[in-house]
Amino acid sequence: MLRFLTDLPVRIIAWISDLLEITLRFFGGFLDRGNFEDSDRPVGFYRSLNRRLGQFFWLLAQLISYPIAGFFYRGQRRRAFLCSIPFWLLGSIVIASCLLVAFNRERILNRYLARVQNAYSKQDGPKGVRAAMRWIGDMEFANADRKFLYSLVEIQNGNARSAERILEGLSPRDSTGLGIAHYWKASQCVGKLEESSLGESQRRELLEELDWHLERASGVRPEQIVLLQSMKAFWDGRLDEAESKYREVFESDVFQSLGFASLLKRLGKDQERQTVLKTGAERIADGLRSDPWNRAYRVQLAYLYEALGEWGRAEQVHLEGYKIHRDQDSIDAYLASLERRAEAALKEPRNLREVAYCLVKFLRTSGAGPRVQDIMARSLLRPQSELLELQKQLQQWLVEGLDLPMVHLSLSFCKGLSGDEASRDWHLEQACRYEQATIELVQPLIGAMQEASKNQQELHERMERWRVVEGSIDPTER
Amino acid sequence: MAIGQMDKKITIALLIAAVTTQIPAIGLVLKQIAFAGLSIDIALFFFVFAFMVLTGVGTPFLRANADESSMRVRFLLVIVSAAVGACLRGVLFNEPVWVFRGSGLCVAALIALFAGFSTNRLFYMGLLLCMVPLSLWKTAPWMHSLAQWLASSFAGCLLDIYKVFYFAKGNVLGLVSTDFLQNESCSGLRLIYPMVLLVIAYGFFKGYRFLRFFYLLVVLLFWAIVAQGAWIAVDAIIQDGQSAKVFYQSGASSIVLFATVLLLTWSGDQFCSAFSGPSSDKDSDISIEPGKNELREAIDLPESRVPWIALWSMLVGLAFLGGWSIYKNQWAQGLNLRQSAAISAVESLKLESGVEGWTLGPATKSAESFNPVFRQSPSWNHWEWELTPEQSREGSMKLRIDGIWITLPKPDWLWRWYGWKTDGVISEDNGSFHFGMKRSIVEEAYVVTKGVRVVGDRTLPGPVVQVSLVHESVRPITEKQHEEQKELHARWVEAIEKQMGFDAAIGDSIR
Repeated sequence: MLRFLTDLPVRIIAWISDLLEITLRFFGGFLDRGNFEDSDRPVGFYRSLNRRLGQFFWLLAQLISYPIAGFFYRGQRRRAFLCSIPFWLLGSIVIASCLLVAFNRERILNRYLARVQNAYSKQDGPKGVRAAMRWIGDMEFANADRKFLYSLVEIQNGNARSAERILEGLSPRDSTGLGIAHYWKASQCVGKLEESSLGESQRRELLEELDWHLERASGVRPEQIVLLQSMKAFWDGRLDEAESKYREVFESDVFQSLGFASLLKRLGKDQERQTVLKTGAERIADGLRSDPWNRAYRVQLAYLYEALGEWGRAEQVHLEGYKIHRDQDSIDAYLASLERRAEAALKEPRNLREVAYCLVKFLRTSGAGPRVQDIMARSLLRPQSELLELQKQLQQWLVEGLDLPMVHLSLSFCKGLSGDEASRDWHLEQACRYEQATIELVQPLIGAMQEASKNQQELHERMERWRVVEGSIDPTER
Repeated sequence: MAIGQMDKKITIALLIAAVTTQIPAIGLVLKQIAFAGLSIDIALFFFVFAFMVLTGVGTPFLRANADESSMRVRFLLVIVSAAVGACLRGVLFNEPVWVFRGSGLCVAALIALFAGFSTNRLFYMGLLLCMVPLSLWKTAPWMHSLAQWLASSFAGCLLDIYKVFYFAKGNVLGLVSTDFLQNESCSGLRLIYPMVLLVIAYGFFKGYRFLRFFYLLVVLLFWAIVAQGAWIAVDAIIQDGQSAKVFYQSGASSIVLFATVLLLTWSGDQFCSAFSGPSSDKDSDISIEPGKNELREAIDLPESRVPWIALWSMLVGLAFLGGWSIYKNQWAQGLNLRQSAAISAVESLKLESGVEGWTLGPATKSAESFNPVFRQSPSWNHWEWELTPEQSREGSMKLRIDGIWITLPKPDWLWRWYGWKTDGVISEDNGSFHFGMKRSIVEEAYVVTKGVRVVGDRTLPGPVVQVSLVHESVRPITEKQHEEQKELHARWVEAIEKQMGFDAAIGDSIR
């Protein structure tokens, strides 16, 4: 039994070998009729064709049976067969790999497309662009929608001009193109129309282009297209139509309050603008109350309060946001709002109470950074009368109990620039007694003020004279 | 018999004369090889050559008895005709490499006549002597470009199967996970010259006929490309997700690659033997039967003397051609320069820091530079500067110097590595070429380029650097910008030529 089992594989191979040989002989004989010997004799067409077919068959039979038949060869051919296995095997693997990839091309490219979409959703522009490089030049795969996606990741990658080029390609003048690209082009036309340097003929051309693209725009919410139609009506001089269209959008979408208010301002309807802003703020505040985590509502509400000039309420909205989210985005939003507040306050005629407030807040939130240095230089390097008024406002804030160390620090700089060195040192001492770390802000700020006051000799000298010796102020001494 | 020996002697004497008169051109090519520092390649070449001669002399199949002298003369005629063609081309187009090849064919015929080699062996010897290092071939860049494209495509297949995300910029692969282009691994077919030489030696040793040898060569190229692709894929897999470049033992990897390719080529040869069967092996592929192809010591007189007269006329013509080029001093302006001197001439360039509203500064990020494996000098270099507009101008340009080349490739070749496609005809203007290119759907470029001789005679091939001014943009580049770019390029080229060119002081000092 054991002997039989040991012989079995050998027998199986022998059977296969016999079967293979019989099959090949049968088909080979059928095709060439065993007449290879007299091949030199002239033969007829059919005979010749038959022989050719037979030869071809034998070639195929050899090629197909190569992996198996080689084991049964005798003599030198067996060695050649065994040695050539790596060539045959690896060659097959190489060709199979290429075929595998070729047949799955669409699936592989879709994998890359998913990568681009993923990178876009994670705002990873560089990775998105690199993943899109695989298919962006592929005429069959890169359709208009995918090219649009590529333009979006290019924007995330910081290549806005590349994205513009793609969108231009997607919104050609001689065909329909992609609806969303036409929308983008129409928005671009509206943006260009806002430029005041345009001549009448250029304006007319731009309006025609806007009209053309607007007709073909799609792929966005209908309200967004109505907005552009409204702006077109405005630039065409159809003011009532512009207002009514915008109002229509505003009523359905509260996020358009700011844009509508801006249009009303242009139309000279200031009272209505205030109403729109207030209505918008109320509706968004309602929305925010029901969903305090919604950042879009929060940012929009803060903007509306800012547009109404209610900076304190805007700040309140941001601070609430920070308490909820506790992340860098909310800090950035607050600082950006503070900067807008400072800019608004520094605009002539200046609101010095607001300037003083922003200065103190900036000192508290941004330390002695470049933004603070700039605000401080623009606030304090002013005529003496204005400096005195600013001091008054700071003292008022002191009375009202706003951030005492920072108010004292600001006052110290005001006194220093006024030439009152005793008060300057006293305020600095007070600031350090409230908060020892304040002293670290002083030296960089003095340096920045010295640099900024180069053109104002007297102020520059006063800053030059100011020497702060760390450790000279004892916080325990009250 | 005596007349036959006389014919042989006359032929040998004329062959010696023809080769002797080509010595200046041969010397120049050897100098170019020495300049390029291809010492390993040339050592391997001489090793294979010596192997062929010794194997040929030591072989037992030296004596022939068949009456095939007319066939032999015909073969000599073919070989000498090819030599005349090559030398004519070399002399007319100022390409000493072609004269070198023609002379190589004559030397092969000379050795075959002396040693009584077969026509088959004469074929191998001629082939080998035409193989001056592949890197000096004008077609070498094109061959490497094509082979690298295939290798990169195969590497792409492997990466797709392995699910490593990549993109291709022409022949060069980049990884999606990191901002990194695989310039080094995708820089041409590695070790191809030694591999081809070894396959020639193998074919000669086994006495294969042309078809079998051609099959082997194709198999070798196939595996060389596959192995290169596998190398790139492995390199990419190692680098995937790594923020910095990962270094590995490339020397050991090269040895593995070399051995694998040769083993698989040999295995392919075995496949041919096993597949075609033992009988066809000897009948069709191997021409070692003494009675058929071997040359004889004594040459029988053919029925007609016309072939002999034609052969001698061609050899006399060759000798005159060589004598004429000696008389004209055609190859006298040699390459009396060391490579290090040429490189220091390029490195010591002093360029103006600004010109006509443009400021020149060092390039901050140069992704499009690579060190090709088939470089014509061990220190093939790439220098790059950035031209930024001083005010109210759009775009920026790059001034790049690539080289050193001995035979400059086609003007747009360098950019094809990075997937740039020329969008029209390459125009020439005073020796400088200019053309527009496109890559992805938003990338356009306009290039003005010119080959500038480092030192030496302008008319002969020699150390050249490619000076190019490249304007890349996402917006279409206007005609006005083209003109401005051409003017700027001409100005930089003039400045560079003054410092590096034929009349330059540095060139004089080197001579």
